[in-house]
Amino acid sequence: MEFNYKYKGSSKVQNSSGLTGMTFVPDAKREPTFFKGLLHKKLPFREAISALHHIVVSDYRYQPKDKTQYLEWAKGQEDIWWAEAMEGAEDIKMELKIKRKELDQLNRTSREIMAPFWKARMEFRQYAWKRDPDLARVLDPVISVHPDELFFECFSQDESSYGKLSCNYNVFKDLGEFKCGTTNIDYSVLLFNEFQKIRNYKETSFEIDPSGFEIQTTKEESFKEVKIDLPDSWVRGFLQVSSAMTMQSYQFDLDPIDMANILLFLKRNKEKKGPRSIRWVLKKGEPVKAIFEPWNKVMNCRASIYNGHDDGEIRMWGRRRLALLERLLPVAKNVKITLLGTGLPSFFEVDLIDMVFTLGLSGWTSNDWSRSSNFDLMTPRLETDGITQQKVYLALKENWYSSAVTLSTKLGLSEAVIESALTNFIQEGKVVYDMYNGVYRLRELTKDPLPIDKLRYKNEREEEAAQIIRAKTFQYKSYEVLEGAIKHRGVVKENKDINVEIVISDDEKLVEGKCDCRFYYQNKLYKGPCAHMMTLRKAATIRLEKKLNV
Amino acid sequence: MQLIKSEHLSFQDDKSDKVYEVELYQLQDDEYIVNFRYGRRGSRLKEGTKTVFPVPLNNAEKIYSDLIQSKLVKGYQSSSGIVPDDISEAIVENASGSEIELQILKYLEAYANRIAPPKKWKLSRIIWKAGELKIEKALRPIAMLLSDLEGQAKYAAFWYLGRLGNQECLNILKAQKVTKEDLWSKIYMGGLMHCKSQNTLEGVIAALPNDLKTPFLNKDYVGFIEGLKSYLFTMRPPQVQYLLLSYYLSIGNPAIKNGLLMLLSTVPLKPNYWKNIRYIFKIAQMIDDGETFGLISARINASQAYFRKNPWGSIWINQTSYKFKEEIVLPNSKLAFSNTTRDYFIRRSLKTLKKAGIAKKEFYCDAASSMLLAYSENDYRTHYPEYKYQYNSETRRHTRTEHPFSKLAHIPIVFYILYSAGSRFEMLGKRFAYADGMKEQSAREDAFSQLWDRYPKYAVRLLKHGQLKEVTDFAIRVLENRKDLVQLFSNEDMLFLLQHSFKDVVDFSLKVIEQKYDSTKADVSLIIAMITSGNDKAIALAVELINKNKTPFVKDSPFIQAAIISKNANLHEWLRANVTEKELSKEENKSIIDHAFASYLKLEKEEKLALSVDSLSICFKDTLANLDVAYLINLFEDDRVQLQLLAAQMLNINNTPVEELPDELFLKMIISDHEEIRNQGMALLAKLNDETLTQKIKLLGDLAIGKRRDLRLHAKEIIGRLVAKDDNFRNEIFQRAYPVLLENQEDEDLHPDVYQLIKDHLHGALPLMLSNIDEVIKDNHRETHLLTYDLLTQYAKLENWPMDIIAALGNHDMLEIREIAYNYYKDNLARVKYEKEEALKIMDSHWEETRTFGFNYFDEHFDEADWNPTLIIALCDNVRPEVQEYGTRVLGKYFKDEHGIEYLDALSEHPDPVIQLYTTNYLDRYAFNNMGMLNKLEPYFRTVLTSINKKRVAKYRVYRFFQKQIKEGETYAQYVAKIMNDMVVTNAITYKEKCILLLYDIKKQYPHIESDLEIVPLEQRN
Repeated sequence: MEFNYKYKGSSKVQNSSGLTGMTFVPDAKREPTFFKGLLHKKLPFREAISALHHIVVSDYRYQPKDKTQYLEWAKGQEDIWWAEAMEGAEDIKMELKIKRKELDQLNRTSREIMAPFWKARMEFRQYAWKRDPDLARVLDPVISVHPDELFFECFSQDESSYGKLSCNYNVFKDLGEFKCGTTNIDYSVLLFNEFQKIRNYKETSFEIDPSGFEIQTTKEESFKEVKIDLPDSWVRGFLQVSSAMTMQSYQFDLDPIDMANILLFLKRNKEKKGPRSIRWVLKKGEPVKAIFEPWNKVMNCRASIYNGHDDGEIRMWGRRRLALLERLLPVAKNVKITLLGTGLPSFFEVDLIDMVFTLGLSGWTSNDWSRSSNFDLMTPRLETDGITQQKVYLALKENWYSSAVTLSTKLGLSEAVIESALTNFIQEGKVVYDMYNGVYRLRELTKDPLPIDKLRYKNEREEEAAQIIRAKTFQYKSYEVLEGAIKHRGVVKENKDINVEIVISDDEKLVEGKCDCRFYYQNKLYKGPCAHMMTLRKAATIRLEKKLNV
Repeated sequence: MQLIKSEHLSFQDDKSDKVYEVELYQLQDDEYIVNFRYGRRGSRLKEGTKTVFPVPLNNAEKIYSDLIQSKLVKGYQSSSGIVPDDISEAIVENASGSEIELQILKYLEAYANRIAPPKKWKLSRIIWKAGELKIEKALRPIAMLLSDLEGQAKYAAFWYLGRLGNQECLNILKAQKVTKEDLWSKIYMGGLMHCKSQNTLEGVIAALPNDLKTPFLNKDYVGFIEGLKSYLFTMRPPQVQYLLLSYYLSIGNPAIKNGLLMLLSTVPLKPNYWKNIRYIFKIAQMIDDGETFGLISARINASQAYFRKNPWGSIWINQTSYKFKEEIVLPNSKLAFSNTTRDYFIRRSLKTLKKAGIAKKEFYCDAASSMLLAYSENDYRTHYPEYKYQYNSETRRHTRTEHPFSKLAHIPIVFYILYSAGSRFEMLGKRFAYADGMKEQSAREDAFSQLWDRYPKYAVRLLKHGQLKEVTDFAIRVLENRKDLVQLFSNEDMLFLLQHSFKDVVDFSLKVIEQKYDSTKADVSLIIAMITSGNDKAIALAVELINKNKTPFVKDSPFIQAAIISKNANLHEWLRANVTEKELSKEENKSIIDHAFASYLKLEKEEKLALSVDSLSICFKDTLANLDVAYLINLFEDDRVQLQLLAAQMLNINNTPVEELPDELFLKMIISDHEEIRNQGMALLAKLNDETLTQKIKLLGDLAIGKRRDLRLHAKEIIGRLVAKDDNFRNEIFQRAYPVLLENQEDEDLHPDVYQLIKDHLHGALPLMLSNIDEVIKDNHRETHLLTYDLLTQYAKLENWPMDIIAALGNHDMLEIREIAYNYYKDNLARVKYEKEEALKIMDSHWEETRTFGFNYFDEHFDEADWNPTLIIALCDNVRPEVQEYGTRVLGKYFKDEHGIEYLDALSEHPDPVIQLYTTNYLDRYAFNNMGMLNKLEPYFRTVLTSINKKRVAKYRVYRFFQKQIKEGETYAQYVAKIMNDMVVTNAITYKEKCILLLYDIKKQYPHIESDLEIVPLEQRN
């Protein structure tokens, strides 16, 4: 998907010994949105915006080791090994020894001669990399000005972490004129360095520059157009995480020091084998317990007592992403954790007093086919007709933010209807749910409507699986516990019965599968699981969760 | 929310009565929504929207009208009278013995005299045959018999009377009493109408509803047919009975008949309709109405049966099961036109046709031509060839014969009419196939060919209205060798044929024209028709004919109008050689040009008009030169290239001075993607004098930085010529050109070209870059670097520049420029010292050598007096580790005790671990026993202590500091306890121990201070 922006100039942070001036340039193609104020809580803001930056640039996907150099070396070495294996007579051995010595000498000289060239080349590459910001492009953060607060949102490069920083207006003083709305801001990695210069003893002004809109028509040439091509999966990930916020969940508070302990443990231990999950054990009235696999190390969060209604045990993967919160801990008052269920997104809201930092994590760091069973996050939960959607949208637009209850009394519609309409908007990227305040906020992710039909499912098989579940033609049969894995069986009742079988490892990875369908016979698992396997997997997950609740 | 417009639609048929309302609202300036309501009339309507999110007006209008159209197409009626955009109506053109006689009369006499006939021949059949042969002498015996006849015989008798249709028959018919229920009532009515009975006509008219009656009486036959159409197709349920009534009226009324035939060609062959169609079919046969008969049988031949009879006696149609034997006899039967009915009617029409042919009646040609005209290419169907194998016992082999089918193979009647006398086709079952291969044949193969020769007007009709190649070919074959060919065609026919879509037909018509045309009486309208036909042969012939007598054409403006927009080169050659504007009046010239331009505006995107424009500009030069410039400029805005080119050409020959044309026009022409337009643009530009060119700064500027290299170089040349005379011009051009260098360009040549332009012609304007120097020095394009260097070395007075810009030069990518900064620093120490805060920024460079220069420079030239805490803190606040390090070094060197607190305060806020560690050095000295400072430092302590797995040394130092501090008094202990209570939960054992120890000490000294630590005495074990 291509995103087009138009900025008048670049965002700037100007630093002098007495003043830091942050000027963000908004997207001139969107509705005018601007803001101006002086920062009041400077250091917490500095830490929070830095943490947001870490999310923007984070990529926790597994990077395989680059072995090209080794392979090159091994190729040359092969001849030598052959020669060694072949050598027989004493004189040949001698000759070989001499030749090898000569060769070593030549190699050494060659290296000496070439060294400056290689060094210069490497330096040049680094230089070129630094000078070309386009190479490290990310989607510019989205910034929204609302009557009660200002918030930034971003999504990581690895398509797995969502960050939101909301600041209420106590964070600022000397508020200038502002206009509510949502816009993208020109953002480059270089800005991060400038943020680090924010100090209490310097006055810091914060501005979303309105001038870009005023002269839009007269001096076209002074605008820079930015085109960012993002994979569909990225956009879908963003929408999936935000639409997960409204789901039913377990919630508990964690003391910052407990969070620090968790990070400490993860920093000091590196697992070589899966499962790589944290198992959260929640029992009413007891400290929250975190179990780290594969060592099964139990950590009692003594400062954090669980007060929720239901007991439960939830596994969470991609735990190293929590390190994104590290910078916030010294200034944090509390961390509120929201878990939706095993393998589902989770949310960490850090209370920074007048600011709330939300970190949303998708089920796994890499959303590849072997793990996902949450394809239905983007399906509409309840059908609402267009006129209702329109009413809800217009009512929300009046105030920019509102809770479902308020809207329901205002429009005289039931809460369930309002919520399902709003959920649809969230899936379309038009609204965001503010978990901390429990309100829905109007936030148009993009200027143009997103092609939601294209984004709803990753592929046709997901869509088919969702249809099978809706049509209730699936029947879960049985499961069998294997070593380090569980085998599930089921049957899809279509024209003829399709038997399907999957093996899910302890790391919730789909490691084996079998199906009677055509897709499986043609592709096996090379192109991912077939729709029936996905259905079985979903059914198995639901069953397991039910069992745990009982 | 303001209602802009709304539309009320309704739909009624026997099952439903519903309404649909569409509304368009305005929300805000350009925010519109389209909502709709629908449901049963009178009930509460359901609401919906087409625009969940507001859209601009254009989109909303489109959504609004599309929605209405979609409903109209489904049969909704609009209250405001909107009709669907296209009701596709297939417009079907109007098509139109003696021994046995004695025997029949003999038998009839016998019956009339109550003598049993010698041979067993049914009376009804005898009467029927009498009717078929139109034996007038049979009238008397039949009239005698009439009162006694019953059933089929009576039916046949009426058929006979109706068919004869004379005054005598009318009298007999009038005397009969026939009720509606009688089997023969329809035939009876038809007969009466055929006999021209005035009373019957009045009766039929009286039976019409008012909205059909009025137009009929007013002779508004178009209105009548329109009304009938809505009764048949729009109304629910359709009022089909008026179809038959209208057919009665059409007898002897060609206007109604033509309209009715049109309707008949679209009426569906299904229940309700079918009943009336079959009556019409029979009456048409009775009164020898070949046109109607032919059309209906053609329809039956090409249609599928509505349902198929089957052995089990019931059938599912529209989700209902019918027992067809019971259902079909009901008055309002939901079934009709079964496969057996269809077969019967196909047989009957073929039989009738054959008989007419054998009897050599005109009816044959009338009906056959009507049938052939009813088919079009839509009736073509692909038939796969059939293979037949025959065993040859001599060779002991199978031989295979292939039978490819004609595309019309499924319509046997076509075979019968067109090919049955030849040997090319044969019937294979119900389809006809090529007998041996698909060879073309020029010989006549039609049945009853002498009939076609006798009535050539039907062949002309086929030629004119035939929609199938097979049909027109046949017509040509019938007509081509006739001697009276010329008389068969009127001039109107020729005009009509020239427009025919089949090439062969047009060629044929040209042959006719060639024979027919009389050059002494120049027929301009025919010639115009020929040249507008678009057919090259026709035009060639037209030119040939014109050349025989040129005079009337040279002065004929309608002819020239038509010819000038032709696409034929020959014709244009003729025009250019013969037509001049002098021969015509001013008004005529103008009207020819207007007409030509009007036709150009209708052009498709790809169509060429060079020929036409060239002829126009050759023949009408003077008139064209006076065209309105504003119109041409406007024309250039069109997105069709040919029109742009036209406008450009016209501008070039226009009388208006070039100087008056707007700059944008030049620019648009010159940067066009189309080479010819560019050439025209350049030709226009060449007409300008230097003085005017100097004023066209924007245009030249745009060209100089434009997309096309050739234009850039051209513009550079012109700019070079003009720049010497006018500094202002130079500056303006420069202001436009140099920003190009600051941006990435896809065209690799653009930067070098613009650089060369500046270097060669605009160098003097370089100081203008100063206004934007911030951007310029940050830019990293090679050409900007070179210009910056020139600016610095040749024009700039650095003493006038702000210090921070000079410092920024130290960050420049070009070594020479960095050196300029170094030298300036070296030469202007006093200024550096005076503006030291700005000057220090030179160390922000990403070039190591600049930083090293800075470190050395400040070490060398700055002493204790020059450094102050603000400067030093600014250095430490830098994000580059080297600069931070330099900052701490300077801090160490020039540290003054009185500034200690200031430093500690500032540095404690630093996010970098190195500086945080460095800050610990100041704790003991400036924070110790200083409660105010401690309070300020709390975030710092927390940052250090919560950092995970790092800052070990800093943490140790902080704990040691706390250890010392708690001994100094309760307030301090309280302060430490507050932090420790939070930290003690840590899992890092080393620090946990330190926290516990601290809390333990506090607990011991000040037991009342709140602490999370509980001291439990050691368990005593025995």
